[in-house]
Amino acid sequence: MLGYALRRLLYTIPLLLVISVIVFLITALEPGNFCTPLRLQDEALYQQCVKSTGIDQPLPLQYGLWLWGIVTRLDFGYSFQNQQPVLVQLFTAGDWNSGTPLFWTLVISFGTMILTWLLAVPLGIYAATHRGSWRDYIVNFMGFVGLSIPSFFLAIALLWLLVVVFQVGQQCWQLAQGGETICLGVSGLFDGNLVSAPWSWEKFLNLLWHLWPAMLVIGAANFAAIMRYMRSELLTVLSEPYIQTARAKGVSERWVIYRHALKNALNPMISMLGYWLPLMFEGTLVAAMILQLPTVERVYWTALRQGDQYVIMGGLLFFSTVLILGNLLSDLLLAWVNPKIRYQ
Amino acid sequence: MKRKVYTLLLITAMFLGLIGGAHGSIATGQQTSLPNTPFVMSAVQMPDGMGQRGGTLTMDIIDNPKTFNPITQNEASSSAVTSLLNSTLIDNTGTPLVAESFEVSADQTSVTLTLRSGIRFSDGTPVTADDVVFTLEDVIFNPQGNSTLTDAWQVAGQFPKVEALASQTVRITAPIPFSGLLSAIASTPILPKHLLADAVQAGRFNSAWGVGTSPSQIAGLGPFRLQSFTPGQQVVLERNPYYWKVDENGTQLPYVDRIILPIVTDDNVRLLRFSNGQTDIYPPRPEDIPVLRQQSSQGVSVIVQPAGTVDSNVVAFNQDVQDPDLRALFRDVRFRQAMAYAANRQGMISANLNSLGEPRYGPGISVTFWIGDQAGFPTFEFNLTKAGQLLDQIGLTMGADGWRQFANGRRVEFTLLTVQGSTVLVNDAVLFANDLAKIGIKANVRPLDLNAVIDQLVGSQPPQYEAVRITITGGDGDPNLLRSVYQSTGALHFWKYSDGSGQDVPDWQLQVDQLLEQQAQSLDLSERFDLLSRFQTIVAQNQPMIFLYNAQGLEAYRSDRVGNFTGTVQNTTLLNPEIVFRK
Repeated sequence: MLGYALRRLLYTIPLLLVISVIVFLITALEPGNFCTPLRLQDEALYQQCVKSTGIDQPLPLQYGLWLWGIVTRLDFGYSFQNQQPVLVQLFTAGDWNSGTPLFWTLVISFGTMILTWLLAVPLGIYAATHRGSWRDYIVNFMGFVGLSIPSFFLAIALLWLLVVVFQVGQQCWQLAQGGETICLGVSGLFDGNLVSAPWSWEKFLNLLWHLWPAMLVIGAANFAAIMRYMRSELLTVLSEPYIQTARAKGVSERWVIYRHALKNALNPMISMLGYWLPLMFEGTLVAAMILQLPTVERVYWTALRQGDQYVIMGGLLFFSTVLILGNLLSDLLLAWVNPKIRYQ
Repeated sequence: MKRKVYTLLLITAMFLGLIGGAHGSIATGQQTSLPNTPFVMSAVQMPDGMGQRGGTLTMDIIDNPKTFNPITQNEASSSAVTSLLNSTLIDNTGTPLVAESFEVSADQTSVTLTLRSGIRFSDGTPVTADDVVFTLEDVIFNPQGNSTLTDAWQVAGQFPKVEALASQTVRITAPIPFSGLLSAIASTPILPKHLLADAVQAGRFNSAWGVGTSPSQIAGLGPFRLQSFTPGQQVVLERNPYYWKVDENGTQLPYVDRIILPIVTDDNVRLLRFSNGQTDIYPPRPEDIPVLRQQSSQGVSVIVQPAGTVDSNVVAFNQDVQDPDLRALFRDVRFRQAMAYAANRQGMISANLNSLGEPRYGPGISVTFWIGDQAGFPTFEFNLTKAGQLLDQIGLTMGADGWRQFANGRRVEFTLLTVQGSTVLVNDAVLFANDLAKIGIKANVRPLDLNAVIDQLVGSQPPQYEAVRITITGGDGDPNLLRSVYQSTGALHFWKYSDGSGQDVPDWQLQVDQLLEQQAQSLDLSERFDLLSRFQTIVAQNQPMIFLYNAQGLEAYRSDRVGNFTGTVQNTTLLNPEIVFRK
């Protein structure tokens, strides 16, 4: 198993190389470049920018230098816009009190994933065991709503509800430290100057207040999908002959469902965990843009708009890596839960 | 089990490594230190009178600042911050700021400035003439520099000479009389030599004061100094304890202790946050006005500023286009005048700007030099009949299919580029194309990504585009900055680059070149006004670009909480940050 995992990891190297070529070509072949907007100000500034960023070099040379930097020094290039290394800009800019993009991406993605699964799996079981009842229909309806609402719309509608209907801005309190008055806000992760304040319970609670809309927006579609998948898996297992046999032997319904059916229905779900991982990272992109979450996705999106070439390439490589790792994790989990599958 | 614990520890250590970046901070000792002769801000300049000190002001900014370097910054999200951290020797009306006084020599080539005695940078270091010499000689005039200011300082291809006459006195001498000298001084912030000399010496000034710089390494002469920057979240500024302005009571300015600038990229979210009371100031879009007026009972006030003249909203035709029929047509002044008549400016203003704009028929410069509203200035009010008559005169006959034709029977048709993602620009272009269709001209509107549009405008010579609806920003302050657009050799003379070769240059363009050159060398304001009036009239008559309108400035703020709010600069930063106070 370990050998298999190592082999799979080695296979990712040529895969990432191919991806890096595609990523490079995508960004290099776009019309205009990072320096182009300067042409509306001053041609000399533009020429200087082109020279200093090296985007006038031949494409193979640019690609070669970039790849050489990654292989030899783990240097993914630098941000033209912010004049700092790509790794700092994408992942580590910030400090302990305010968090870094990578930290927030992991917190939000994994937090949402855990919450989604904790809610979706029991509801899926509930819907399956109450199949055809009005409760099943309600859960199903929720599923369809979650699947069909675009997340950008859900995000902005949620903020509008909080501000205009619930008027959360009227809820104010005085901070224990510093005595500053703070009111409940929307978007971002903290209110007032809590962003750079040292960690405290107040700051943590304020973070939770800002996290739930984010998790709801990111989790909605995935929640619906997982819930419906769980329901159908359980229904399939419940129709198996061995379940009939258990029931015929007089085993209690609760025992049949939780001891025999659920265990088998959950197996394929666990292997899917890996596939959901990249989905969570992707889902964060839209929410991060509208809810102003300081995540890797938002840095990436900003770079995309500004044509900040190396940050875009670094971001795309990061998301590709997450996708590859997610798939690997899926395969390994599949073998772990299903004794019939063994990798050589 | 043991292995699992180790793994967990390793992950935790990685987290800490990722989160624990370096974070500098400034000592918080807020001792007051004024110069011996501070600048006294008159109460007349304060609409709500003198305020009290203290409190925090919050205003969303639209993006992360890209740098804290006031010289290399070239976009709004950086200038929103750097403009609050820095100040200049004088302002563009000739009022001394960091300088206590200045004198222009009799031959009008040199300016001698005396700094305020005892004035300090925001880190407490005294300001001397050396800092001024350093800012100009080592930074602005440095060939390795990367600044739009560099051009503003050049006259006859040379930079002025800068000498420190005494510790607080500096003389700037231009090679010939130069009208732009005072405005160049007024637009150049003074930098601290002690913090930047090393970077200049090492040839890395352009990357100095990047966003990763510790706040203790950044200092300026503005009302605020940097307290912290959290990427993607917010910028926090604190009062500059060494600021050199006081009110009439002798209270040191600025009034507010702190400005928080959260970074919010989405327009709708900024509006919701303002409605929610999270921010005190919000420069709204025209479509937000009805919503905001409904909130007046909750303390929201809306200010509509007169339309500025800084941005030129234009439709330009490429007079060097490859197609010979279109090239001849675009070079015909009657065609351009017909296009000026066919532009329904009022329609664009009411449909796209919520009626908050003023039509324009010529180039705007700065308020001082704007003469376009005077009697006798050429106007082209919306009139399709007149436009049609001019097209008839050119000989563009109406075909059986309802489209006009060239003499050779080809249909008159061109592509009108505009910027994708800008609703106003695209809607203007569509409205214009619809009106053109009524007089038999086929314009195909094609929105492209901004970079692609710029590439088509200035990416090659001759440029590839046929027509474009675009906004030319800038030109704020001194008319010299507009020379790159209107002079035939200008780098942004994108409607007819071939003028630069000196061949086939129309007479009016030669006159424009001459007028712009003459005004640049005149220090007499009334003479410059006359020269610029003639320049603007000639341009308006010939419509090298079809001028459309200027949008009115819109501001919204919470008048129950904020006093002395006088507006923003280009919707990005406060106009008079030092006098705004918390009620």
